[in-house]
Amino acid sequence: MKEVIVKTNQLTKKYDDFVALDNINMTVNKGDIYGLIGRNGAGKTTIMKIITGLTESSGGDYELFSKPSNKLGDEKGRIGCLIENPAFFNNLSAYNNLKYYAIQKGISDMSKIGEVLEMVKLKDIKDKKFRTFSLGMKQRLGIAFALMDDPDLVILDEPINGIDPIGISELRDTFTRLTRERGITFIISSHILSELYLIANRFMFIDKGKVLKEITHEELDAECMRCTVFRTNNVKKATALIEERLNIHDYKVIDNTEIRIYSDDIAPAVINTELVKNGISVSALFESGITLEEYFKSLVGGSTND
Amino acid sequence: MINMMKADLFRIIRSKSIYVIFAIMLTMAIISAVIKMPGTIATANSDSMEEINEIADEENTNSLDAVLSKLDSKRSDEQKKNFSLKVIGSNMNLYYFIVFIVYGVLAADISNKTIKNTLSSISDKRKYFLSKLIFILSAATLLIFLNTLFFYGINMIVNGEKYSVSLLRMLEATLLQLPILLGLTAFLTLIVYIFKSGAWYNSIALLGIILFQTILSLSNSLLKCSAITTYLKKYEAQVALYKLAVHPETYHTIVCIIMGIVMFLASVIASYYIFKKSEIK
Repeated sequence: MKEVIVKTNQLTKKYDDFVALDNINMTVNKGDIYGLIGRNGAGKTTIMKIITGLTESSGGDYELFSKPSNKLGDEKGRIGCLIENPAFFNNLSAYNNLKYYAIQKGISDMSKIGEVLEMVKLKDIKDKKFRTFSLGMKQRLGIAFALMDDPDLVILDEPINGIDPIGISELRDTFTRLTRERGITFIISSHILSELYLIANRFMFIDKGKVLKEITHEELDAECMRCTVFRTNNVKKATALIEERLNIHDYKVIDNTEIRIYSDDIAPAVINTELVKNGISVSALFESGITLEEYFKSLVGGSTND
Repeated sequence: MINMMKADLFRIIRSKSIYVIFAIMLTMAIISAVIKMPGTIATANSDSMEEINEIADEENTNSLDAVLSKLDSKRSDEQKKNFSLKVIGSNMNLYYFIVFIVYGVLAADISNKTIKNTLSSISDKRKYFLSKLIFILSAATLLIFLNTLFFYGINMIVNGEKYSVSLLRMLEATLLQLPILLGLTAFLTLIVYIFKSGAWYNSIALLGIILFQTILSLSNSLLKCSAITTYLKKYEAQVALYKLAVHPETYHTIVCIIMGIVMFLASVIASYYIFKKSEIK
């Protein structure tokens, strides 16, 4: 069983009458890259703020590293964060800004600063003042801050804002490498599903403070992938026939009436004929499959949060 | 907490303003020693200027050298020695330097939103609050005593023993002023926690004190209230600091120490309450 890094239970946040979070249940396991997806104002940042102690919940609770929130001690030191826009001291260089926080964290080996600056490709401009940085550079420095001190959990709020496409690709590689090599757990928020899709292994869709869906990468693939959907009253017999007669193994049984076939080697009409010929009635047959953005829209229902 | 204070020290010694503060402090000490009069940033302590103007009128001269020389000759030996205490008595000047310390250590952190970096992955609110408070109070105390030591050293070099009380007496005068100065320091942190904005803090901290004095003076003239008059004559911060250094009286000293402690405790408690309840943006 995987170690649970973050677990929330009925987490709620209210601002007077406005409900920013409504009974959020979320579980993040060790080594997950957990994507929080929602539009602006959906509640992504609020979840992150509560977990990191920047704001208090109005109801529910959460655990970090299997410890209840009210009993947390040094666990905070195991977290690296970038919440909302990266904020640093304008009059200090990138290096000195990180050194300031390294001293706060009690890091004695300052070579770690060089390492993280290298990781986010800022080493060459480490002596430039923060005030001269572009948005993308600021964002990279924020990520470097989050990765400093080998955290066990990294929480990044919209980390790719302002970063160029090549930079985004490099950061993606860095995050996946850190998870693979060091077992670091990431919670990353974004309103761009296609970006998160490339790195996250689990996703939580959130809108208007409510969880719409928690789903794994594989499940998302299955939901979005182009496929042929068969509805039948005898799934067991139908799957046996599909495997043995038609030699199709790339399929999934959704429930006791629906089968989805992802292989396009055999035409749907041929499969249909074979099923009917063997006495299996087919009540529906159609092609399905949507893009990630369409999937996202279908979940949030196209409503606005404004 | 120690690490957080170390980090603040690291940052503060990299800011130009701390060197500007030291430069102004040294300049004021040198000027005071040379003209043998306490220098003031604030306007209320105008005794020195009145003295200068009176002598300039008597002697019918505009030469500052001549006026200062005449002034010096009129002073008794005790008055000459007391001049060093009068300089310590004008320590309200340090308020303006403390304003910058509180800004650099706390207001800038909250105003720039860099506070969230610390609170999200390093410390909790309680530790943050305490470490900032201890650092600010330590820095302010150090600044207050350094000012006394700077002036004592410069005055001894420029004017010699004749114009100075003992170092111990000067340190004692400074120590008596400490509760009021630290009470004001704690009050400045309260302003930061209430307004959470560097611009608001600077406006209130720098202009607020002038406004406060003006309102008090106006109310005194208009209302003729004896409590306000007594406060202005004895316990208004600038007057109180002067009396504590130059003419310390037991009752006045006790009241001033209590006032300082009450202001300190009330500000710290209110600051913590506000900070604990506030949302970090």
